[in-house]
Amino acid sequence: MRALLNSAIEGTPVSKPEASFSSLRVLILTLHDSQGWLASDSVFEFLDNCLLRLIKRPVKYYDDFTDLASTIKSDVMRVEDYEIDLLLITIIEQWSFLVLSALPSTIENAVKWLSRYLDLSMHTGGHMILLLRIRDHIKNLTIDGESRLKLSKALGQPACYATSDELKGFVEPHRQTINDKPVTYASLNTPTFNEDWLVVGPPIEDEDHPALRNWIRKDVAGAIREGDIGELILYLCSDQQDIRIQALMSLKKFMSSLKVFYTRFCILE
Amino acid sequence: MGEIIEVVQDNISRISLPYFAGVMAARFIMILDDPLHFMYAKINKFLNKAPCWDLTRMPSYWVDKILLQPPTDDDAYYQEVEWFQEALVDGLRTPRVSFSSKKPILLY
Repeated sequence: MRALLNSAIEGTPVSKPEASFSSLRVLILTLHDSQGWLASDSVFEFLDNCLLRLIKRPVKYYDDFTDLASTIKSDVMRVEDYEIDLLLITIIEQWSFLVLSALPSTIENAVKWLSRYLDLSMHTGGHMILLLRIRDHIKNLTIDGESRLKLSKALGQPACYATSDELKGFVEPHRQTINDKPVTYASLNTPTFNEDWLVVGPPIEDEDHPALRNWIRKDVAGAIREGDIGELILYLCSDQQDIRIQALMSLKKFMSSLKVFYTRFCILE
Repeated sequence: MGEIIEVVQDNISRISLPYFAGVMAARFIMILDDPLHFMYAKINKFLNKAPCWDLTRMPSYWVDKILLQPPTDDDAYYQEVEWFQEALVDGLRTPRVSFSSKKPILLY
């Protein structure tokens, strides 16, 4: 299998070039029979379809991957450093077709394989948050409740493949940390609070109310983009009656300026 | 802008606008300047719904539209939830949460 896959993906972007652990090796390990699970022919057909699509149009899936990566907050500088296989992106796209057309037993088999693949991807350096996002995407596309439950458990425990001799020989368990603390699924599920925020509380109303004056010095677009108009609106929530009234007057004047600005804009157009 | 003025102008001398509504309105202004923002479509729909806002129903409206309805962009659900969560937290600036008052602040 290794030789066959090697010949298929050689020179293509299927493998993560920067990965500390070969993604091909990860894929092969997940397809091994283990713990009573046997990869069905349908899983191989599904994988064959995904790999074929990825090899034919790698740029499309790379774009989808960068779009997905941009939705999460991260310190990762390069897209490659996420260490995520583009195969996973292809699976997201093709999963809905599998769910609609395959037998329940096929979907169950595929879900078990995918859970293994996600777990081992995490264990070998895949970006945890991105893997969670991918898992949740696929889970949302899955209709069957039991399969959804199985997918929910993926990435929730250390990869059981660490005991396999093949894995021990080739990789050091990749430890991910956030703020020098080891990342576990539980730690990601637990909201992290900024303790300073908890002590200080939400923003306090500025007694000077600078936005009452600041917006006048700026043009219409600048006043909006720099947040002065937003501040004026918040002054409507003030406990001080005169501030509320001044803010309302300012907003009405700004509305007039906005109408003039828009009229001029239309004339120029 | 006109809608928020319509909401407050009859009652502003008597009572302040609830912070939740103020925070949402301030965020709407920023987002309307950016048509590519993931919340643009939902905010546009909200603003076109009626010329005035029912402040007592605003929180439940947005809970429904963000948490219980699909997102505008297929993979923006968590972004929308995070955006709404930030607005909810930002709106809790005073102990008084006026949208739970029995008498609606807004009279159409």
